[in-house]
This record gives sequence, C-alpha cells and structure tokens, in this order.
Amino acid sequence: MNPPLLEVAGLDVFYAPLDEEPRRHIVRDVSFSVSTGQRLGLVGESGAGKSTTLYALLGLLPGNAEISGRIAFEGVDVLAAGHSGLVALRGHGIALVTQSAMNALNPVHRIGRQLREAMPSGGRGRAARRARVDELLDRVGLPPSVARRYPHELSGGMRQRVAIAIALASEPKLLLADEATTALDTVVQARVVELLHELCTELDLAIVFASHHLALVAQLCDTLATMYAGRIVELGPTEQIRDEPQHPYTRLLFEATPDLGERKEHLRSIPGAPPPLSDVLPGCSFEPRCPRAVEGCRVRNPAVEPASHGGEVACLRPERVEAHG
Amino acid sequence: MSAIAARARATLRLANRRRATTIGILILSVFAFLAVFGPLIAPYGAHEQVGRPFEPPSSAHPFGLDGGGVDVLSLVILGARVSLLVGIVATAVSIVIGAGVGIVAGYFGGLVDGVLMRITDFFLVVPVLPLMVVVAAVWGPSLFHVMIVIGALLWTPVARVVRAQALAVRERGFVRRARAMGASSGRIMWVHVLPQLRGLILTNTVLMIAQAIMAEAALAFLGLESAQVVSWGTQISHAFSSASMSAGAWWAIVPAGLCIAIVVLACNLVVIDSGEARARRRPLHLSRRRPRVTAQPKALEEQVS
Amino acid sequence: MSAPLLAIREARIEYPVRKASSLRRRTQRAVDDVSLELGAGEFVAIVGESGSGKTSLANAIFGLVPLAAGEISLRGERIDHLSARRARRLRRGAQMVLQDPYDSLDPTLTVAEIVAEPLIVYGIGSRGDGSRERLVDEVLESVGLSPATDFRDRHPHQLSGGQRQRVGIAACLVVTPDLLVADEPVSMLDVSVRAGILDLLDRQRQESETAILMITHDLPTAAAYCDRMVVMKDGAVVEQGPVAQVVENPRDPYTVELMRVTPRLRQETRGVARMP
Repeated sequence: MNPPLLEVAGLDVFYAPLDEEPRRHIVRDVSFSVSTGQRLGLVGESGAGKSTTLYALLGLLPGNAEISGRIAFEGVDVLAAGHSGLVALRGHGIALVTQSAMNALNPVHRIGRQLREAMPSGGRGRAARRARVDELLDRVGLPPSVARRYPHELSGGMRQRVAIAIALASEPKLLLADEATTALDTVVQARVVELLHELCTELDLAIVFASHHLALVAQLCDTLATMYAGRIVELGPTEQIRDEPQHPYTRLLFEATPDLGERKEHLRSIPGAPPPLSDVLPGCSFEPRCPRAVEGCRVRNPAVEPASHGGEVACLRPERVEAHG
Repeated sequence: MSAIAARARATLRLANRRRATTIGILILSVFAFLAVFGPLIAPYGAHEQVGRPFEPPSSAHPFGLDGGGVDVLSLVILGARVSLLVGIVATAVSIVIGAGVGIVAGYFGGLVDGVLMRITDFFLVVPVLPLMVVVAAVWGPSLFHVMIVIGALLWTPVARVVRAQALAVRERGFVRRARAMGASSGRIMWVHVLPQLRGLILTNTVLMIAQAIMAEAALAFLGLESAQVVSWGTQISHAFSSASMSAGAWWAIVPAGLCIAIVVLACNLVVIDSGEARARRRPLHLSRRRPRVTAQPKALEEQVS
Repeated sequence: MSAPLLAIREARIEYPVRKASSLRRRTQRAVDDVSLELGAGEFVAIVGESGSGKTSLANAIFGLVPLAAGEISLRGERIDHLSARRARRLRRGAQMVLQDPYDSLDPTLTVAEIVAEPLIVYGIGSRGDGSRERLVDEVLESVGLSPATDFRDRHPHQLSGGQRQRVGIAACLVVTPDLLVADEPVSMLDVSVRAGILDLLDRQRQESETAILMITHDLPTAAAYCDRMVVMKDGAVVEQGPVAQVVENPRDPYTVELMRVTPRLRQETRGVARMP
C-alpha cells in the first residue's frame, strides 16, 4: 500500500470562549490517514465537526481556535511550525473547495486570470501559463472560451467546476471538499461528482469529501468515516460499511437515508439531539440516543478498535449482524 | 427575593459590558432630573437680577452672571427643561412619521413605495432655516413653531433607513407565512415587521434627540424662538446679542453650549454599543488573532476506571 | 372519483425581466401552463430543481404571486385573483409549511403566540375564555411537542430545527386544514430527524384525510412518501403519475436522466463504478 499522504492523529479543536459563550470542544481526538489516490468520505450531520476538521488542516479556523494533535503531510509534522506550518500547506500540496466556492470568485476578474493566480509562482512563462489554463479548463470539462469570461456569465455548475480547476491549478496531491456539491442541482451535482472521480483516477489525486449527503459520499468514496459530536465513530471501506455498519449511529444514519424506491415504512429517525459541544462527556457521546447502549457506555468513551470490515469502530457493543438490505 | 437579586446582578453585568451605553444613560438621567426638578433646584430665577451684569464666576455664582445680571447656573438648570422637551417632542413626532412612512413604503413596495419616497425626497430637500425664517415671519417666533418645524423635517433619514430594513424583513419566512395565511397588512406590519425594527428605531430615536436639541439651539440662536423662552439655545443667543464676548464674559456662553455638547455626546454613547455597531466590528477570522496550535501529540486519554 | 380538492388549470406565472440591452419589457415564464389536481387524503410530491417553478406554483396557491393566466380552485371555488377578505375566507382550508426552520417563525413571539396566530386571523375561538389556549395545547401535543406546557412559552431560538418545524406544522394544523402545502419541509434538517417530521405529515393525512402537497428537490424522500409524483422542469410539468411508475418507468427524457443520476445507497450506480 502507498505510505500515507496525510496522517492525522489525536486532532483536537477547541474554541476559546467569546463573550458569554462557554469553551467548546468541536473536534475530539480525531485520527485518520489518507493515501495517494484514496477517496475518503467524511459523513455526519450538522455540528459533527466535519468542516472544522477540514479547515483545521489548512489553518483556516478563526482566531479563537485551539488546535492540538499531530498532522503530518508527506511525512512531515506540520503542526511543529505552529499556525504557519498549516498555512504553508495552502496551495502546496493541499487545496480546498468549499460549498460556496462558486460564489467566492472575484467578480471583476476573468476566469483565466483567476486560474493563473492560483498557479505556483515561478518557472513558467506567459505562454506556458495560458496553455496550463486551457489544460485545467479541459480537465474540468469546460471549453477554453471560459477563460475569457467573467464569473457572472457562467452557471452555478460551471462556476463550481472553475473552483475545482482553481484548486487543481496549484497541483495538489490532496483535495479537501467541504459540501462542494451541495448547492448544485441534482443533475449538475452528479456531473461534478463524476468529474471528481475521474480526477482522482487520472491524477492520482487523494480527496477528503465532507458532506451530510450519505448516498453521494457512498457513491464517490472508497473509504467512509462517520462523525458524531466531534469524533470519528466508524471508519472503513465504503462497501463493507454499507453492508455491515458496526456502529449503531452509522447504521441508523443509513436507515434514515431514503434510497430511491424505498418506501417510508423503512425510514427511521433518531430521537433526541447531539449533545452540546461545551459539555465534557465522560462516556460515549451517542449513548443517550443509542438503541444498543448499556451501563458501561456511560462510564468510558469507547476506544477505537479494529472492526470486522477491516476498518475501525469506536463502540463498546458494535453490531455484528448483517444490516437489513 | 433571590430572583430579584439575580436579575439585578445580571443587569449589572450587562451594564458593565456595555459601558458606553451605561455612561450615556447615566448622563442623560442627570439632565432628565434637572429638566423635571429644575425649578426646585435652581438657586435663583431665570429673570431675577442678582448682581451686576457679567459678574465673573464666584463662590456665590459658580457660573457667574449674564448680561442681565441673572445667575447663569440657574439659567442652565432651568434651560434643561425646554431644551430636552423640544428634543423629545420633536423627536416623537419625527419618529412616528419617519418609522410609519418607512414601514409602509418598505412593506408595500410598488406604487405606495414610490409615492412615499418622492414625498420623503421633497421633505429632504426643504432647508430647515429658511423654512423657520418664513414661519417666524408669518406666524411669529415661538417655541411651538420651532418644535413643529424640527419635527416636520427631521424624519426623512429615518424613513429611508426604516424602509430599507422593512424591505428585508418582508422577505423573511414568517412574514411570507403570515401573508399566505391571509393576515391583514396592518396586522403583519404591527405584529411581525415593527418588532424587527425596534432596535433600529430606538437607535435612531436617541440620535434624533441629539439632533433636535442642536436644531433648537440653532434656531434660537438666530432669534427665531420667542425671547421669553428659557432654553440653552436662547441663552447662547442672548449672550451674543448682549455682546458678552467683547465684554470677555465667556461664562455667559460656555455653560449652555457645554450642556448641549454633553447631551449630544451622551446620546451618541448610548447608541455606540448597539447591536448594529457591534455587528460592524471586524469578524474574528479577519482580525489578526491567530489560532493557537500545539504540536505535541495528545497523551492517551485517561481511561476512567 | 370525488371532485378534486385542489385544481390548478393551465396556470401561468410570469416575472418581468429587464435586460439592459433591450428596450422591450420581456417577461420570464416561471410557470408555463401547468395543470394539476389533488384529492382529499392524497400525498403528491412536486419534484424539480431550482428554477423549475415549483415554489412559484406554491406561492400562487396562496396568492403571494398573481397568475398571468389560468385558474386555481380549492373545493371548487376559485382562489386566484381574490380580494384580501374573500381570500382569507376561502383559503383557510389551505396552509403552508415553510422550508427554513430558522426563518419561518417570528423570533419575537412565543410558540403559543405563533401557533395561535391563525386562530386570531381567522377569528376562531375567543380571547378570554381559554378556548384558543386549549386548541394550541392540543395541537402542540399532537405534533410531538409534549408536554405542551413546556413548549408554549419558549421562543424559537430555544428550539432545535426539528422542533421549530413541528411548531410550523402545528401552526398549520391548528385550523384543521384540508390541504397542507409543504415547501421543502425537511431540506434544512438533519437526515436523522427528517422521517419524524414527514411521518407527522403522513399521519395527518391518514387520520384526517388532509391532502399533502410536498415540494422538494429531494427525489428519494419524495418517492418514499408520495402517492403521486409530478416532475417539473423550466416551469412545465414534464411527467406526472403514480410514484412507482414515475420512478421505475419514466417516459420523459429529463425524468429518465434525473432517476439515473440520483445517487443510490444500495444498488450499484450506473456510470460511477467504485474503486476497489
């Protein structure tokens, strides 16, 4: 197997109190790794900590954030250099596409210029840069004429592709996508996801795709990680997790997501709500809502252990039976 | 008992966080007190000659005497009543007109908005002083006329600002639902739109009081207010007309002017800490504060036994 | 077949579009000759992307946008182009549930005040005798906000997204409507709470024969709950029929494409094979 491109171990993100707000523990002891060409899906509902995890990797969190743990990119410990270590990763190996990236394009610059701006500096002459612009646009399935256009002349789907092209312009090895397709229409969304898949295969690009849309993530990613209340509760090969989810939350998440053609009788909801992140939770954070909880779940937070699907799960009583199909 | 104590403590905490507002309110309270109890506090009457004209400040008369031999301190205290009254009455009239026009124009849009905004534009360009001069010429100078003129002209900026907000509130989900339900426009504006504009209207009210007081001073200074009236504006006007500057009697002018300045400052302090002002402060991610990054790998979590 | 509860015939909605380049006043058709019927107790989903006209259609039912042509009838009486007062009387049978739980409730009102508002607007019950309070409490309990005494005095910001949607639904149910129009009722909620809210609507349908018209872009959710599905694109209805038929045997090319690209959880998707 390839050595890990990105290694995250014991990542913790706190938000120091502002005004009257308490200190919040948004990302709790998160560990995962991404290899070259791997497609990792980060799934969870609002407040699970997916976006915060991604933004922490590039030092994009606000000033009152406290980050600790270990982040290694290509074997180098990035956090050792403090915040600037994270900043240095931007455009140098890791690129980001956000949900509203299509709205973040400079409205008074043409697309071509914005692409050139994102390219690594030095080394290329004008002609080479323009050729690269055409190449990037072609990569994302856009005609070269787009380079002369302004953002407002393009549709949402096209602008999101431009955002992806801008991310690619820095020649990253890892792409972070935070709800990158959520704002798009279903048909356009499918095309963009296809595009991402192609890019990963052709360029050996690794991607961490964070989204609350389970079916979409399951379609694109070969590895799936479910997050709840700041922790990764399950991680493993997508197909295996889909067929035999071990963590009760993962299973319930699958059961709450309608598959096209499935009727309402099969749909479940999870009563209750996630705990406030300002609380210190001695036991498992999912315990209050978990159908499989026992006394021991309230006492200690379950450690991450190997799961039968080859990945890992953090649960005292993981499910071992087949999930219903 | 403890519930009241808890509320008191919470109020004190709030007062501490919004210090500017608290100071502003305290200052205004002092002047309000003077306005209400002025006649009981002032040592002398407003028309009572107690010494020679332009007597300098002394222990008996801390602010000295004006051109008519009247105690300036008493004048200032008594003047608070009229000045604040004009401020409040003119503002009340203005706010009702301005907010009313703004909400109706913003909510209905279309033709109603167009007509109301053209009317607003008309009032916007009418100059206050010439109008006041005309009014004074036709109906004679009086305090009442001053209040009306100020009230009639001060409302236009409020109308615009309120209208802009009302336009936004109209698009809110709960307003859409109320309209879908078939609630009457009046009900929607009163129950749903107006409460969203409370903060904005309040802020504008306080600022307008400051403006009205200054406007009154300006009009009084120009002699457009009846000379019988005792206000800070008329004091300054008297001081100039009785040549106090050439007599070197700065104490005839400064106290009244200072009072106006302090009240205006206090009004601005009250609103400086308002929600809108805070919202305009730099968001955290643009400030220079950086996240705190700790490199050491986390120690293994203590297993609770 | 009983007379339809809601009948939309050849509805057309236009918005003026002013382009800087042209002098003529052009209009954009948001809804183009759409016809649709809904019977009591039916659950119909209108599915379409943004710009398909589905929201404009919902707005037209409630008189929020005028019809350029066509008509809309509720229980046989026309409800388009009405004066405010007649509209209030005739449209009472239809209520709307909105999409954004963080925007659809007035933040300055309490839950009880929000739910009671339709009673005030329609003149149901009277203020002094507690009849309105009783109705409010009953309906709060029925939507799962129990005990009602816990919830009635809270403000929206003290509730979760799911709870707010329940309040929104309660405010509709309090006047026992015949038709509930739900505009993306769960799109802004976490997936784990969606079934709870939709089951609420479905239960209302089963128990009171309330017709539900759900508008959404979320195809799998629509397919899970509706009896009939209507697919809209660019202001027109491209396909409608029983849900099983539309999903499994679509005839219109757009519908076919939509079904094809919708991500599936369990079946292997066509087009994107997963890497080992």
